[in-house]
Amino acid sequence: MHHIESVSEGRVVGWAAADASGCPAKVTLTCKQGAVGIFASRPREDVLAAGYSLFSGFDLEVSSDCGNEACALEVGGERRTFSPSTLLDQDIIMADTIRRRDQLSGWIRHISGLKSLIFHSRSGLFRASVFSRLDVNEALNTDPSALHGFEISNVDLLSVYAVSINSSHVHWCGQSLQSV
Amino acid sequence: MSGRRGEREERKVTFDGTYVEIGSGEYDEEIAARLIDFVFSNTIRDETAPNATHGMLLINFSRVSLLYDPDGYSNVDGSYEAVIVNGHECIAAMGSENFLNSETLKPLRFRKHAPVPAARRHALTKRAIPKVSVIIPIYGSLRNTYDVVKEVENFAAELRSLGGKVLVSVDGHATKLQTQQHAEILGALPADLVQVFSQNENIGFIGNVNFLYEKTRPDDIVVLLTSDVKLQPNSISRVVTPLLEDDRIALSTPFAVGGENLEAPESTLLHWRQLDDVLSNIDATYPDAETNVGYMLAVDRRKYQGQTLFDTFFNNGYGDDSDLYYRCVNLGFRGVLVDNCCVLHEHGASFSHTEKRSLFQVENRRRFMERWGDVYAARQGKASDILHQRRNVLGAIASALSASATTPEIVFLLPTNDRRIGGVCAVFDIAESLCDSGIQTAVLCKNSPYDESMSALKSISLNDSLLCGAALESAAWLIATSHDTCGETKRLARQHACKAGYFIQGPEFSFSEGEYLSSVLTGYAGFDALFSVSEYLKEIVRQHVGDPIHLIPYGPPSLKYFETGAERENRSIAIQLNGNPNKGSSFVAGVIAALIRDGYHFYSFGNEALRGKRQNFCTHLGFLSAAEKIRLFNNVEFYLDASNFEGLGLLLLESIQCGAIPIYRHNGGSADILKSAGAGIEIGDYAAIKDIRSKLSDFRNGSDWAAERRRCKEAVKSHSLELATSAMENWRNASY
Repeated sequence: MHHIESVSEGRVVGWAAADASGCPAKVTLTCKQGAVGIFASRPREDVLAAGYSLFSGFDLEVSSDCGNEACALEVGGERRTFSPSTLLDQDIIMADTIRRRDQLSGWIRHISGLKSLIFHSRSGLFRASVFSRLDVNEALNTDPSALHGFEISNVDLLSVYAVSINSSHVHWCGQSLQSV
Repeated sequence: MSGRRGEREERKVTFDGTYVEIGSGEYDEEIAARLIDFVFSNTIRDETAPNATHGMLLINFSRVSLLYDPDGYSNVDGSYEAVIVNGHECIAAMGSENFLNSETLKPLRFRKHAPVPAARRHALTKRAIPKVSVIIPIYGSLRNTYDVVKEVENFAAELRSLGGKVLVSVDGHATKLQTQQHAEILGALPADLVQVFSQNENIGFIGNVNFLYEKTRPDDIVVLLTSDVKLQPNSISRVVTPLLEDDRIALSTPFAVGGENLEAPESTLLHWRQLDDVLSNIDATYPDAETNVGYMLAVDRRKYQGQTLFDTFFNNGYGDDSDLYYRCVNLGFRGVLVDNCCVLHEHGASFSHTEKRSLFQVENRRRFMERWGDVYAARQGKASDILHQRRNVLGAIASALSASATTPEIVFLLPTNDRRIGGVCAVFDIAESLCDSGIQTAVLCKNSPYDESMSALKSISLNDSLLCGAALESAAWLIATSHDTCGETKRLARQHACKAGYFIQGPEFSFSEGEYLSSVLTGYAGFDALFSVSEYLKEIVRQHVGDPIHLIPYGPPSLKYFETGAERENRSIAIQLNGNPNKGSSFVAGVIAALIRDGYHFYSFGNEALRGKRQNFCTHLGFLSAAEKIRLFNNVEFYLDASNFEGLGLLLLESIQCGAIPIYRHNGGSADILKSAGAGIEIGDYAAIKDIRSKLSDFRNGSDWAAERRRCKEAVKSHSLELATSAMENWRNASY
């Protein structure tokens, strides 16, 4: 059981219930660059109360550095197309150092801070390590508990087509992530 | 339409007009789709009765009516046509109000839009207490299977009272011999209570657990026990109690020594069985386990209704239980810690491939975080704090009550708690075994740098005068275990008015090139009792002090080391090289020099620092765990014991149990036992190395290997942990 509650420019909201074993449903976003699968993980007490499962919600911001190309949301066999909002890679990822085109460290502008940062590449998923950056907290005027720093290695930056932040923001990268 | 971060632009909604013709009319498909989405976009605002319906939507265009009902159109009459609007099945008719109720033929009354009906509720029907099925997957260590038999025998009466049964499945091994050996051990279990399955193929831990789980009934409470867990009386009853008491609880796990995130409260002085006694008298609060662990996991099948227990999304053994926990939370249930129960988890004892295990852990953690990373990050910290507080409270209670618990009767004093050293391991083995027999035993250590968090019996640092005092308060015996603990033992024994003993494991006067000759010989005097681990050592010590010297015939725990039936590498020899010259490294070099041209391959082990440093002539494997030693001793044809001297060569005994033919110098201890029985291959002194080629050649050409293995095992069968414990018990009973 699922429901797409709203699909508007750059944002999709809804819920998708787990199967009988409790395994969370997966929401898949696709665009020309590739696909990003995200497990529904937002607690939805209302969905649970209706007899389904707790971690059912999704509320995804979707942005792109690839123009205004439509992308698709697919959940429970239902497919919707929509346009992501337009953001440049540099609006998402601020690089401090890039080494050998497979190591990247920098910071993320995400206001609420980082919980998870995943790079989606042709070789698979790569989870960045995240840490505190007090200088960024000061510059963005965010709480010191909000993490902004990240570091990732062993990922071919040329093959990265998307990043997902906190499982709530998916950004389709342009062709120049390695030069951000 | 485009926008920048943080900006909001006015949204302009336009309809392009995708008109669909039907009969003489038409309707706008885009408007219909948007209206359906809008109306049915909030389908779960409140909970309704199970038979509630979604409601329906009627859209009247100028000449066409469109009806959408998620429940279908079986009760609708009239002249209409089915159409699909953005994936939704609708019916369309000319004009308005043409849809009739098929039973009354009156226009349909449109139901108010209502939430989706509840698909599943947690509430259980009131019914008889469910039966309990204990499932035990078996793989690897025969010793664990031997322990499983003892555990099942211990809880059989309790399980029968719960109307329960036991299902055991032996996974497929690399050789049929291993599977057969497990089945033979399990054959001792009562058939009316226990059903044993054997797998032809290796289906892995998760496959084996799921196989057993599918054999249980859909309304059972299933208790998963791994083969390396030991229980106390009524453990099963205590673990299933929260599942019976609370409809929201689907999973439960007790504390364990070696319990990872559910590690038992700190209780240095109490043995884990005593700790469980204390906990069993405390009211349980059942905090969220966050997460349950699979060593002992009760699952209420009436609540968790998945077809399988663990998800094959994970590799064997790690992360699968945490995933199950979050899946149950996702379904609205709780997984709890049974905080009035403690078991012993000997940790990973079933896994023989330690390198693969660490790879599994990394990969499984990645998979777990992919699925549950956000949920885990949001919940785990708070739940962990609650558990930590509860553990501290229970630890304080246990400490306060420890004075009323039985205090140790026998206390050993060790120089170190490094259990990788054979002599240290022997003392802990015997102490733990005595505790299991009901004789409270403690171990003091002069140095305790090694982590003991997963050990059944934790040592007490000699620097902790408070705990040491408590341990010795009522002790009858304090027993030294090495020449450098003799003085301290005698002093403490006098101070605490207990008797002093000396557990002698080797000819220590020869250690370190005889440096301690004087202190060792004088140290033998002044004890109330002396113990030696072999007849050979007993005779040596008797030359310096009189009787009584009690023989404690220590050896490997039964079935801990065993033959796997694997094919052995041709011309292969295992040797110990740990950097200690007393282990005969110069002798080893001579043997290698003598045999290397005959194509022998040597595998050495015992010192991590030497790994890779002797690549010319042998493969150095570093320090080996018990599982790795089993693998090595089952891979080689021979084990060479080159030690200059031994009180009891434990490695020699272990390799014999694994079927390696022993080659030994006449160095006392185990070699003495073998020589007396005419078993194995004795090579004498250094000068005899010149004969080793012909000795091995003769053996390889003319011997019955299987018969020789039997002869060696027969020669050393009088040495085992069980016999040593029994000898200690007999001495202890006679001393009162």
